[in-house]
Amino acid sequence: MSVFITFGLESCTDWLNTKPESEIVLDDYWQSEAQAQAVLTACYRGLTTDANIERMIVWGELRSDNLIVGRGFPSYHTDMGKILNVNITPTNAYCNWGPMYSVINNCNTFLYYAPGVVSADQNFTEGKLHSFEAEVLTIRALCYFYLVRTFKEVPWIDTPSIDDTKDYKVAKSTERVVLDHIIADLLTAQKYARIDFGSVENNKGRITLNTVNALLADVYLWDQQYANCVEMCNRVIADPTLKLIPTEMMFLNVFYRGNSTESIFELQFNENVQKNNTTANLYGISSNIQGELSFPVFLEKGDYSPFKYKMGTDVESDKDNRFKDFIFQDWGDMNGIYPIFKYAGALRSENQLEQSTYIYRNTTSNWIVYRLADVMLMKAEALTAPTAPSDDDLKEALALVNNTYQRSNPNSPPLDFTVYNSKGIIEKLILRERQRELMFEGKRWFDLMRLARRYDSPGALLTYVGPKLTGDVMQYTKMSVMNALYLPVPQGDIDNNTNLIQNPFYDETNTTTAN
Amino acid sequence: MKSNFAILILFFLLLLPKTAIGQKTGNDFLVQGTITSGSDGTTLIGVNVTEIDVNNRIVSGNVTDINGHFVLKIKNPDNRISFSYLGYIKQVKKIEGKRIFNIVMSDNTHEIQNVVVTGKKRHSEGGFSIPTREIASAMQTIDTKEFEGIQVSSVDEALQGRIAGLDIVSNSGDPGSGTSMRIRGTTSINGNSQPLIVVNGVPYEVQVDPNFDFANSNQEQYASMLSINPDDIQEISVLKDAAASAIWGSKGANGVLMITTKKGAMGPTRIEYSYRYTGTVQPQGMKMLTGDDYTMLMKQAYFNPLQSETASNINEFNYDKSFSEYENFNNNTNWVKEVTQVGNISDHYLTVSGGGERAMYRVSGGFFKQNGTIIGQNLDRISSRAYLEYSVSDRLKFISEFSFTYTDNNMNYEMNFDGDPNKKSSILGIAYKKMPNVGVYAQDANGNNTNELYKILSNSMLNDDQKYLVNPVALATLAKNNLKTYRILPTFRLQYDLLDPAKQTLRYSMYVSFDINNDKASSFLPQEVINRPWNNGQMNRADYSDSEGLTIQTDNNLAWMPAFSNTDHSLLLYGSVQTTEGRSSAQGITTYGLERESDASTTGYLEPIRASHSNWRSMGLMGRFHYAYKSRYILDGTLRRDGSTKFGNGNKFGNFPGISAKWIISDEPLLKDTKKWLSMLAFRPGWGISGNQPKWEYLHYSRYGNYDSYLNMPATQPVSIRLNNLKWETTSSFNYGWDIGFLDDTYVFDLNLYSKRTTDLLFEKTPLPSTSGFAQLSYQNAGTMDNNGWEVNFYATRFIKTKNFSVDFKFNLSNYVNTLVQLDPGILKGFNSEFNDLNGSYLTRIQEGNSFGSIYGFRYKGVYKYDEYKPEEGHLDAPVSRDANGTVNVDENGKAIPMVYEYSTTSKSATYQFRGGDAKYEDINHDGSIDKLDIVYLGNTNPLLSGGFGPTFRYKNLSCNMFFNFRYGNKIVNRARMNAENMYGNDNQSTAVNWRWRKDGDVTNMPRALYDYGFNWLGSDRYVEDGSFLRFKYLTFNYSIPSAKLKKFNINKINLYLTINNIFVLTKYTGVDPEVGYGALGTSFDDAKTPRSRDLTLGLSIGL
Repeated sequence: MSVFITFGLESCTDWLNTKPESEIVLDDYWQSEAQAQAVLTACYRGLTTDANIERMIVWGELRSDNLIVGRGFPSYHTDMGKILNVNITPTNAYCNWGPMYSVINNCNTFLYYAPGVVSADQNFTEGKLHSFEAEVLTIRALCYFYLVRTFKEVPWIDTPSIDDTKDYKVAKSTERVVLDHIIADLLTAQKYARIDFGSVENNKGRITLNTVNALLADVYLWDQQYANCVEMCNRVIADPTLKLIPTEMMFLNVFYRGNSTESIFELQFNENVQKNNTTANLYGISSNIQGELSFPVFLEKGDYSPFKYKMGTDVESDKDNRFKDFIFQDWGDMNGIYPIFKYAGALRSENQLEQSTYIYRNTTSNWIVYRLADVMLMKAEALTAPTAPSDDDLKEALALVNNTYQRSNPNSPPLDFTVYNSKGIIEKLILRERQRELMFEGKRWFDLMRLARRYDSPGALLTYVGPKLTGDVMQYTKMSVMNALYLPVPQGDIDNNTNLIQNPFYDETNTTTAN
Repeated sequence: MKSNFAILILFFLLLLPKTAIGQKTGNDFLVQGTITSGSDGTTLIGVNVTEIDVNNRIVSGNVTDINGHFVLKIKNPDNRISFSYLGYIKQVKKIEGKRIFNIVMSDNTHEIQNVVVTGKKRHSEGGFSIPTREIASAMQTIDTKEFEGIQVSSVDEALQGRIAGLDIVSNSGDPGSGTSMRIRGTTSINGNSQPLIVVNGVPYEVQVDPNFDFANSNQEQYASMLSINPDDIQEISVLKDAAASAIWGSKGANGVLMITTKKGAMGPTRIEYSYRYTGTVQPQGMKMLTGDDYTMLMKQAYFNPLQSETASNINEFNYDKSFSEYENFNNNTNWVKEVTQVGNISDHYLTVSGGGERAMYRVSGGFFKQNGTIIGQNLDRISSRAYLEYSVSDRLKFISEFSFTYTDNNMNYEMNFDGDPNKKSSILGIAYKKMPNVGVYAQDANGNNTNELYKILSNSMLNDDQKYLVNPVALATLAKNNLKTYRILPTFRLQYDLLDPAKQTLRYSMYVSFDINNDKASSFLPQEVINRPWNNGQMNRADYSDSEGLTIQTDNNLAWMPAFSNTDHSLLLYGSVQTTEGRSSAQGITTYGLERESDASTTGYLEPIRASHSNWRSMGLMGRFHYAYKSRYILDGTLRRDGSTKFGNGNKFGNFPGISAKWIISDEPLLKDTKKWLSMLAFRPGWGISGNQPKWEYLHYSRYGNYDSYLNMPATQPVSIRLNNLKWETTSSFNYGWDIGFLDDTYVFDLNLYSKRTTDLLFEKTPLPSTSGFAQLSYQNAGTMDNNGWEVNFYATRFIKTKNFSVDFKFNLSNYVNTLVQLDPGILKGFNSEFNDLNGSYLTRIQEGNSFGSIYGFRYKGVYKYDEYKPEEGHLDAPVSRDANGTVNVDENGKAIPMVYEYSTTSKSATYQFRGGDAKYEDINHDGSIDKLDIVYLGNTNPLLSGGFGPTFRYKNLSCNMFFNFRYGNKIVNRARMNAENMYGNDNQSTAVNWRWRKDGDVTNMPRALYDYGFNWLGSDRYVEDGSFLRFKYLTFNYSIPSAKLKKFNINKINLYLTINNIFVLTKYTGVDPEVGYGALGTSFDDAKTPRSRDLTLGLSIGL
């Protein structure tokens, strides 16, 4: 009868536990520093997926005046097309915030379990834990910052998704709550963030103290805490290792080679692990120089153009290198389209006739999240933004603009306070300078959104985006209220999470408000 | 587990009686004697003389020499000596110290007269054997004699229509494509709905990790039933209610199909050879347009939307001789004819069986070869099965079974259009679509065929659907898609009676069964077939994958039948412990852009290598009893406790009870008088619970998987959500059965009424708010579903009977109603996504209180006769909006408001204004526009009735067997017809479109042709058809040549068969075959899969 006894239930339960061979189960994980670091790495890895880089571009740039349909735009790419046509519905693929939340979940997982590793692995000190945590908190803050800027109100989730007993039907938090969480997390990260990881790649590819400060500056600017923003920008600008690249090397070093001295944080791509397919597809690459998106010809000159802008008797940015560097100057068939060269190209050379030769890149580029020029212009904006900025502040802002302006207009005189002498003028100048400097870097739509938020009205934003629209009244209608400038909550989440409330503008049961 | 086996064997050895191990030695002595025949006094040569012990175990033995003399060395004087000789009565003598045995043997060719043998037919499941009449659960058994001589390539095909409540629909007519089976309806939405198959008491499953995207995922376990040769099957029992299937616990919810194979039989060696040849023809499907009609249609379709000649100016339709490809586009090709052929099957089978007192054996082997009715399909199968039984003594028996099957299936290559797996198209599907004005072979300037199969040039102006649609003849003949399957199943059994079986049964039995399964799939798509650029993923693409699995199953059981002094009581107790342990691994590589070789390991573009490993274990503890009082009050009970690695600690074990009773009313003394005509009346109530498992392992772990790297640091992330709550899907069912027999069981009815409720319905990949970081939960228990129904079986055995002639008749009928009782609202919402407003799609919807498999869509009302509403000219049938009374709505100027299709509610500009000749849909809510609010319920896929019937006639040595099967009241979406009548793309259309609306006033039901425009083929009842049918499934003649004539040739028997399969189908269904399998969400979509063929089989079987 011994046979039957060996089948006693307790031993059976053990016998009935098999573990997968190619994966590690949670109970066996979180034992060593290497394992903790692997999840930290997964947080970075998640940011570099096509889905997230696409979102950084679609959310931050696509809706702005900088991008229109390019020659390579496929007929089937309807979700991006719908956004360009201001026909946004909750079923649009780019309303799906899931890819960002999957990074957030990895961050939450790390923050939940990593402290336990300290006792399991003696090599994993509290110090290491905190420096890892600083990176993870910043990545999570970055994700939430994208979400809060795009959707305004999103569920704030800071616990990991482990099992099916958790309540996944989390309601939206207000913008205030989300921003406060982001700021609090970043202030914690500020305390422990590392300054040096020992190599250029790591210093640019991982979160450093400069990254934390740059992101915090951006968040304060969005949150209209201008003094705090200036303070954070100052800390970044004060770092002597950060230097603007001179104009002749700027394109090559900043965008082609990457990890330049100007860079603060850029997502690193690797041709074997993860290519940056998104910029290759949307902007171009040597095998596909006609990217899916392009720069509109109406921005070449005129009242809404950042280039050759008439300022009194002068023409601002008349011979701006960035006009040639960032946009492919195709002197042939224009069709109202300028292909994008930033991120798509390797090198531009110019002959005596000022004609450019463009060489496209074969490999994909890194994706820059923050660089020094951005921070300088953030500071300029923060100095100008208060209702009554002092002349000193305005002058300082103008000086900051001149840093990047003069770099790219080496033969032009600096912009002078005699011409640029009021808050209104400088505010617009900063907007133009940011557009010239940071175009296609996923910034422009958020710049315009800050403008709209400052006036609490889409009016000013619409004057910039208007020329891009086809003239269909519906398109204006669909941008006529502040809520319309944020994306709708994805339909999939509305369906599966009864606690979520749709952005009222997109609520179908409430369509009258839309018209 | 190994140690357990060792303990088992040790345990078994200890149980052997001591005498069996340590023999008495030292007092050996010799006995001798002569054996003569009692009839003529001659001495007998070769008589078996054996010394046997108390348990009839052979201790020593010898045979008589040429003089009939024998000498035998005796080991124990207490033993007995047995004398046996073929054709003579066996004798056993006690030794009792005697040394000489002169035996006279009498032959056994006596005529026995007036002996009535009464025996109870017993039903046996492993060690649990009860008289058939005492079965209290809903079970139906079929002896394969019933379909002897019929050409079937698999068991499921033979069972079709024969078992009440078992609905079998073949997936397609392609060789080896398998069937979908449902016992008493669908109990699961996402889980497996196919019944469990048990062969000789051992569950027969193929467990390949479902995470692995096997190149031929439709080759599932049901296709693998192919590997049991129908010739080897003795009988098949179908366990339909939970009282019976509770024995199989967590796997039994979908019912159980128990297959018993043939065993050896005592007697001289018998050799039987059979051969069958079958010719198969495919029935005629839709008639498609000729090239000339097609091009005319296309030009209209391009012209109509924009009313523009330039839109319709396409070289390929113009018959313009200046076009460089003119000769290739001026043909009339019947593509369907080009890809079909007369198929054939040849099937050889050889069986050798026999046995003596101690050992019985049966060895069989066969070769099966099938060429399909579609070109490029052929299947070869070699199968073999061996059964060996050896009785060491009366109490100890070993049985060994071994089966081997090798299948080599050359299938058509499945093109993956646009990378969308749902767009996989069959050869026949392509043939129906392919434009008929293009030729099969490339033609030279004079219009003569070259040897090269024509492929449309990649710079053609045709739309992509047609431009990239491959030449189906080229695809069938040049591309390769091969699946080789090896399956080996050795089983070892042992049976030992702990008590003397003559007095009381206490039997220990066990088995160990191995299942080794190996699949190798390889496919290659050569550049001659497709016109894509060299770096396209389909170009010279080779896929190679293989998987292997090993499952070890053990069962240890004890059956005890206590002997009662009062014989009115009988009791059988049974306990069993079962374990299953298995592992599987699979890997696959894909390369494309290869130079030439059809080998995925050569250089080219290599896609990521897929690989997976999986292992699983489960165990079951089961106890059951069977009690009968006076053999007319019967009570059965089962309790099974199942544990599986598929679940977490809280839910690892599940309990599955079953209880059933039977009251044989006709045996009551009160009904003694009616016994003459009412030979059987019994009532069988039963209840039980059975379960269903998810497909995947490791669901109860939060798993961390590799996630590439960043900055050369390896990354790992959680890849799954731990399912703490996951448990079995549980089906509890009540069954009320009646057995009624008239006139000595000449007429037998078997009625069953059942209600099944499935709770904790397993849902796979249920959506999760994406804020969780995961798109979905891999599984969730989330609903309740009911299946209620009834079944009638009727047999009339030899109800007409004369000396040479007799007739049997059988009939079965069943019905069930499936109701979704409750479903998690989140899941429901996920399934019931918004209607996508597109042509050709049906709203997917499952609704509480409705049946699963419901079809929702618009109501089609024909075609608008006129373009403009002009009542003064009698042009009333025009696309204008009307109110509930049918009055035309007018605007402020008194102008009729046009009827529109609103396909997006967020934008007013997104409306389509119907025109004359457009499809007319019913405006259900009379709001003046057609939109998703006008979608209504159109019917259900589940049949109201299904069943089969057929007589058997016997005249002397000739028998004739007919069988009909039918389904009634099921709806099918005829998507093949939809695609052939939409006039929307460049696909070829059926001749029905020749009736299309062409000009104002045309009265027709076929809308106008509109290329890529309009809404003429919205999912509507236009394509929802009644799938009822009555099929004359087969007609068989079986003639056995009288044995008297054969004796002189030493031949035992010769049988000749003639079978005609699928003689006709009576149906209103317009598609080629109304038998359509279940698709997504249980709805049947007819996608022009290969229809079942019409066969003629000639067969011969010879027994020696």
